[in-house]
Amino acid sequence: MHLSKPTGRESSFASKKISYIATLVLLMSVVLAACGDNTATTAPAATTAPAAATTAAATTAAAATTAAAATTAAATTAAATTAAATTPAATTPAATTAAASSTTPPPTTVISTGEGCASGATKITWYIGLGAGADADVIPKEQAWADKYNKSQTEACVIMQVVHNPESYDTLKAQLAAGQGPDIVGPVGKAGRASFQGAWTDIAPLAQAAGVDLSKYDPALLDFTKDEGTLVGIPFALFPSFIYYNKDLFDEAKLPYPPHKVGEKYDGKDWNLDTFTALAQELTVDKSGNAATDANFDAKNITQFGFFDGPTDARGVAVLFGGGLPYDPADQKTAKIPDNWRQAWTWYYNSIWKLHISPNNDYQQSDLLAKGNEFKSGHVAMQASHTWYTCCFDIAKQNWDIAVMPTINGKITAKLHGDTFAILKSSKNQKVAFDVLSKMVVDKDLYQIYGGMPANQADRAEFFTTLNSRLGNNKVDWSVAEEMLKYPDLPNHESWLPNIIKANDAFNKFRTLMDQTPDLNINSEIDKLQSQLDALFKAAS
Amino acid sequence: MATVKEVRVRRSVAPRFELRRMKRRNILPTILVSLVGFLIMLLFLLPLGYMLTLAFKPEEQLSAQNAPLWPAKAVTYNYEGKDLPLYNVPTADGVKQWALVKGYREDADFIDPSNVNNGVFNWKGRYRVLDPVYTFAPVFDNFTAAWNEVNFPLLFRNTFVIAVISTIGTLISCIMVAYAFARFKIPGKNFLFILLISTIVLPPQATIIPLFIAFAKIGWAGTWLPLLVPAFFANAYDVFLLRQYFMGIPKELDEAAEVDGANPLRTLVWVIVPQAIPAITAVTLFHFFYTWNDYFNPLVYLVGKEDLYPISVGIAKFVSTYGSHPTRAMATAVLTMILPAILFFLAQRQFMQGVVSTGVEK
Amino acid sequence: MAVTKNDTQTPILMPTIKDRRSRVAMQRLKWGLFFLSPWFIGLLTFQLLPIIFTFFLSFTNYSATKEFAFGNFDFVGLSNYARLFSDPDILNSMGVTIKYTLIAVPLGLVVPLLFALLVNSRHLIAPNIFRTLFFLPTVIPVVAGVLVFQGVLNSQSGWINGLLKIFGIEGPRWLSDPMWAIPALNLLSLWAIGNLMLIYLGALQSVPTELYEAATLDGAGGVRRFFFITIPMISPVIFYNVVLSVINAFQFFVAALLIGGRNGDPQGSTMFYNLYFYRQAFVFNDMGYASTLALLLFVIVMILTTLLFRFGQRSVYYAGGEA
Repeated sequence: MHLSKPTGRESSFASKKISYIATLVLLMSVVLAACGDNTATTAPAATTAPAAATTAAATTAAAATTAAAATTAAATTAAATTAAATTPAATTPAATTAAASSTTPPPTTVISTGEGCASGATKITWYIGLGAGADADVIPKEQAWADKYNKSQTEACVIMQVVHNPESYDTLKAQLAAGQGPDIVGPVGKAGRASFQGAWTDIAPLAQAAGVDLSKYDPALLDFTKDEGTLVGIPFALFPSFIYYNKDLFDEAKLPYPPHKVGEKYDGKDWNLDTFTALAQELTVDKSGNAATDANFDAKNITQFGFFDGPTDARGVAVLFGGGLPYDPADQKTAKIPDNWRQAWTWYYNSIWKLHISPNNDYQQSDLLAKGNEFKSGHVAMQASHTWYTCCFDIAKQNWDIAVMPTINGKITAKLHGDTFAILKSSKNQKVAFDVLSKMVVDKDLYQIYGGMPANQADRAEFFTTLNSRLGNNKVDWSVAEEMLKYPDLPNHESWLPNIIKANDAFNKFRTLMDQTPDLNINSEIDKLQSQLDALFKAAS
Repeated sequence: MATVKEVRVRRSVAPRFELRRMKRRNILPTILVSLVGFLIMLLFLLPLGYMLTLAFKPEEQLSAQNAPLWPAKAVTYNYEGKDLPLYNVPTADGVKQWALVKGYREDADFIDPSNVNNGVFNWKGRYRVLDPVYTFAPVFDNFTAAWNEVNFPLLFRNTFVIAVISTIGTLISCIMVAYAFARFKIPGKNFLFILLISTIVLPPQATIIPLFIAFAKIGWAGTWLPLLVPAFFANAYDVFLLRQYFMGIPKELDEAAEVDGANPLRTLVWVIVPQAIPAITAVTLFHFFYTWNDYFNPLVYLVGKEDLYPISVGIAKFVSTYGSHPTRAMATAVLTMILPAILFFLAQRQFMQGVVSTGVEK
Repeated sequence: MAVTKNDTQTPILMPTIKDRRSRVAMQRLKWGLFFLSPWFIGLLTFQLLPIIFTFFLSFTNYSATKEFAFGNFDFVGLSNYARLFSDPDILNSMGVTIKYTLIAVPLGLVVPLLFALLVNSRHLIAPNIFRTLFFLPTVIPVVAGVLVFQGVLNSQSGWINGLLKIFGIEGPRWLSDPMWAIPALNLLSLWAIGNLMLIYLGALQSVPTELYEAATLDGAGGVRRFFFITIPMISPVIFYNVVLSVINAFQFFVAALLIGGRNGDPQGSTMFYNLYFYRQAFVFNDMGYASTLALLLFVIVMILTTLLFRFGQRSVYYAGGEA
């Protein structure tokens, strides 16, 4: 075929002409078919909207119309630019496709954005993605909640916007810049809120106007929900941390389970750092079945780890050894890493690279540890995490329970998270948004969805009962969680800092540095971090 | 270098039998080239293999120790209502397949399925280093889960409509603009061309805010218009590519057409375009697949409007680096690429045919 | 479509040759501007806007947590520009970008060409399947591609190191060793090479077969044919690939963000210039300074592109000649 004779110019033009027209017609018909398809399927949606009297699908219809308009406009442009002669030829297949597609049943998964809203309801956009809540398992539950809420009242119509990290930050900023931001954002913690410093509305006057009494909350909890003195949310749920442990791995090693009560001994020894470290070593195993305590333990081929300090930044790791602040109490502009943090980081670093009881970054991301879901993989015996971690592994199937944090330097510290929902200053419907928010923070379903203990103590018993019903055959000792709530990290590991965004960034970086890098002189790295922070604090306005 | 004209003359005197002889010695090179190709492909497709096996693996297998690389199921033996995994245990009488009742560090309780009456017995040794028994068993759970939770028909349709319309817009506008740059004397053309290239130099993250503000102000946010309309105004990537091809087409061809009385538009449609079918097909495919995969733009413009999502945004809840179901993420990704793969497979036929004819007739 | 008569052929009152020539040129200019118009309109409406906007922002301290409206930002004169000179991170991140570019451009030039030659070879069995499979990674969503590469490059459970182990090599800790992170990202980009392969393939297909036949008859071997026919004939496309590889390498960012996070882990080794820009704009909310950074990148890449075009004018062979 490479040697075929060149044909005369005349005939080759003719044949090309035909093939070109054919291609053009084909392409055009595809477009029109696609457009026709779109209008054909959206048309019924528009007509059913008024028919369904109780559930007015106003927003769905509106969205569909926009789509149709969009395609028609573009199609017109396309048609205008191309030769008009091709259009009649193209409409025939388009029409048939449209007819054919209208008989196909509607898709099974119905997207229910704003479905079930009352017709006059104010649209409240709920932005999810800065913290928890954007996981595939959780989204349907959130959607179900929004649908239920929308049907339950006529004032507000909650519309969800779910954006996944890391695009969630840029997307929200583009919206804010255009003055089209959402109303409610959450769940979001201090770190997430810090990226939008100054964009959050003060909740206190809204609460006052709505007659919501904030004095029923523990002042310490309210403080926890304040950013630089401004109350940005109502306390929603508390997420104390403790040790999740895998009972199968303890059984296999013929070791007793860790204590469930503060002050209880472990195997006759005090439940302190030494006991904990030794236990973690016994629970770390290599490919040949040697424990980390064995002389011929192979650190390059570890298949089971004794301990993992859940996903958190360097401050979160530091508060294992007690809360603190990275600056001089007398002068916020001078960085000073507290001694207990220094000890904590040194211990943690050694636990990875010397004792090998904690997975380094490569192990964390490996298939063996389920690509960064360490405890779920079944190859981590103990993991320090918050109540929200119940989201992320099979709580009914895995054989697990929870234990108290060990005593370190004479005290117990269980770091605390308190994510909540916040309202943006740019929201044009602050009142309605607050109304929705005040319902959200006391909603039983949302507590379950996000695995948060209700901020209000009276609601906790019911919360645990519901949670227990989801555990299958497991019996989890939730008294540990309530006990650990008494030992929060003070000051909290997410506390405000001068130049907080950049400071948080530095702490994130430091955790990864520890996880990724062997042979560090950890003390001099901490000094480096301190001088970095010092520069950041001094640059703070 | 030999010019095209010289070659034409030489070709007419080329003895044909010589060329036919060349074609006959093809068996050895065929084996050799195919073998090399196959090896390269194996290496190149290693990640794809990983992706596919993951998509067909049960979630437990991902982190199971000593599990094979391919999708497999642990063979179990049901004893007193419990499914116990089988292990190959070396014994004095050769390797036996026993079911593990309870494993410990230095010993384990087993039951021998071929001798159940013997009951559960203790075995000294580390069961962890034993070879578990697996059978090849791809599962489709990941695919069904993905299919049930992602509205693929809707997403496919949305993506297809967006891709087709914007591809058509791109083709028409880019062919025109590339023709202008390749064949016309326009004052300041070089500057204009650099200006054209410059429009892609700014990172998309830098341009998204002003564009979003602008589109939001005219009420286009939340519609497909920001994704479709700009396609009708040419883009630098495709104009540049087409211009390079157009400039490679001998000028005598369009000069001849113009002597015959064709105006530039006719010359473009009947001379340039047929000669540049490979480039045009390439641009079609690129733009189509670019739109298919474009994530950031549709996300920003359509966030919250799930009815309008294209596939890239619609699957994000599964295919995200923070997701907790890697196997399902892979299955979702496989599902999304099946359609483009088929389209490509079919399109390349057209592509190669179009190319061969132009290659010869120059 | 109706045949329109070319106006230039209608004689008007015995024009002089000079007049006629300029009339023809005028006519062609009008046609040229007509063909150029879609882009030019688009440029004025969609494309210049972001550039002007970025320029404007570079004189402000706007932060994207507020609506873009006067009163929500201040003009800060040239202070963002002054900051460029005292910011060591610019040089660091530019260094990362250049390191990546220096590997990515030659790879992106040679490997897809080799692939295109392979799938263009008439000795290859089932070339259409090869073409499809080589193209396939291009249609995989970026996030999925990143997940796959995080999997295969993991130093503990990844297939790449597993393969190396068979040959007795202990593979590097790709994604956590600062020395290997950039090559790992290069591998990731190399995977999605289908587009470049296709461009080369189209160009290879367009080389007149007669040229090869003639050269063969003249006694030129495969290598000579490749260097003296193929390369010059596809040089316009090679040039295209070089320019775009450079621009794309300077814009490379999303995969780096997904793998190295916002801090350019490990140890800042993947802190690309664009990631640095992204941090300023979206992490630290400093749109003003970020815009200045974007403009600096704009200027650098423009200079590079102009230089490449200068070079290209001398070394690219266009069968149709320069217009």
